[in-house]
Amino acid sequence: MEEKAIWEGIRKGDKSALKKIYDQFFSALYTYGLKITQSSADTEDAIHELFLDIWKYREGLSDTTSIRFYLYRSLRRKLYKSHTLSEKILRPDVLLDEVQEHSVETKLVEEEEKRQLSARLQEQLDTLSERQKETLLMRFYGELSYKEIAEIMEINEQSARNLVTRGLEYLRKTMKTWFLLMIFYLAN
Amino acid sequence: MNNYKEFRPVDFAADVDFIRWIRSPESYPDNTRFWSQWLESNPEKEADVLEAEKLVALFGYPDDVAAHRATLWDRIDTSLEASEATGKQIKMAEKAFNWNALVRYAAVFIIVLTVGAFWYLNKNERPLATMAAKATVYQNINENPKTILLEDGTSVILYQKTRLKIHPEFNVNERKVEVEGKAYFEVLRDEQRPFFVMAQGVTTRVLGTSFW
Repeated sequence: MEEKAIWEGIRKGDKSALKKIYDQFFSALYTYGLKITQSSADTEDAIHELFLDIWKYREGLSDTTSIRFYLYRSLRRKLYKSHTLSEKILRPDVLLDEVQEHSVETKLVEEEEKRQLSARLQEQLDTLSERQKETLLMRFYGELSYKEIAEIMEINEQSARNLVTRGLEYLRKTMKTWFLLMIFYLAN
Repeated sequence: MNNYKEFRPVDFAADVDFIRWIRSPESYPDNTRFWSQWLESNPEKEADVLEAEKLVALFGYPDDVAAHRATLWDRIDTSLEASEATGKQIKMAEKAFNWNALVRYAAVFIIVLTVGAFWYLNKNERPLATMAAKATVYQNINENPKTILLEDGTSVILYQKTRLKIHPEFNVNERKVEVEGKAYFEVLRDEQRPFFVMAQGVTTRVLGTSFW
């Protein structure tokens, strides 16, 4: 369904249109929130509130707003309301523990590799600046344009572009080291 | 259209169309077709594309994302139904709330009225104390002398270009005035409240007489 048609459906009170948006965007919204707050419960609360808001204020929705942009801007506001930047603690250890707990022998090595990557990613993301981290998450999970990212983060478009590119260059450099570490880890 | 031939691995990885091709090839068939063809005609970029793919793969979803999607939708759905079912009750509750608000406004109104009344009564009892702080100034800019009757009964004749400043607490415990220029005082005698005149930095105490 086209964006306009979905907005229109929601405005008319069609709950299946709301479900459509939810199904299409949940995975990305959830992962984005999880990587910012590192709390599944907080992220779910924020998404819950976000969809109730869309429904509650559906008559005021304007179909000129891109759905993605609307969802990420609103979710971000909600996440930051409950999670101020300064309160955030880096918890890569927790993630690593979870990873190891899940890794029973029956799991494929490939799966293990994916988990390791995801845990390492979180670690690496946490060493980036908040802005760098957020622009990367918005680009990769939100698939937002630089213009949209810039508007949400209140920076200019060129800065958004630079933050993404520099963040990726950093990840690329460290990635090579991880693969070596991982091979070492898996070999043991 | 982007100039993909010039792209480095990080540029590919940051490109939304590229990300979509790697992550959800089925959802965007046109995009997928484009990238397959492009890679076929630019085989020298394969290594860069592979590296970019690894970067995109870093940003995956957690394994349990589908389970979270299902349970959270149930929660949202329940909340939506609950809010629709209680719609009428909420409206009634709003009315009750308005009565409460009215009572609150009335309470505030009464408090303000009471405080206001106290203030008003105190003002009448101690006029000078509450009027406070502002000195009254008389000035005669005319050529003819001007007679002023002060509140204690003293009369003053101000001559040309003379300024008379009455102390803010005049007639409370004492009577203090300041003169610049030429004035004639007929002071009403009051031993409880001595009369002071300050002129050119000198203060003179007067009990009750007339003087220049």
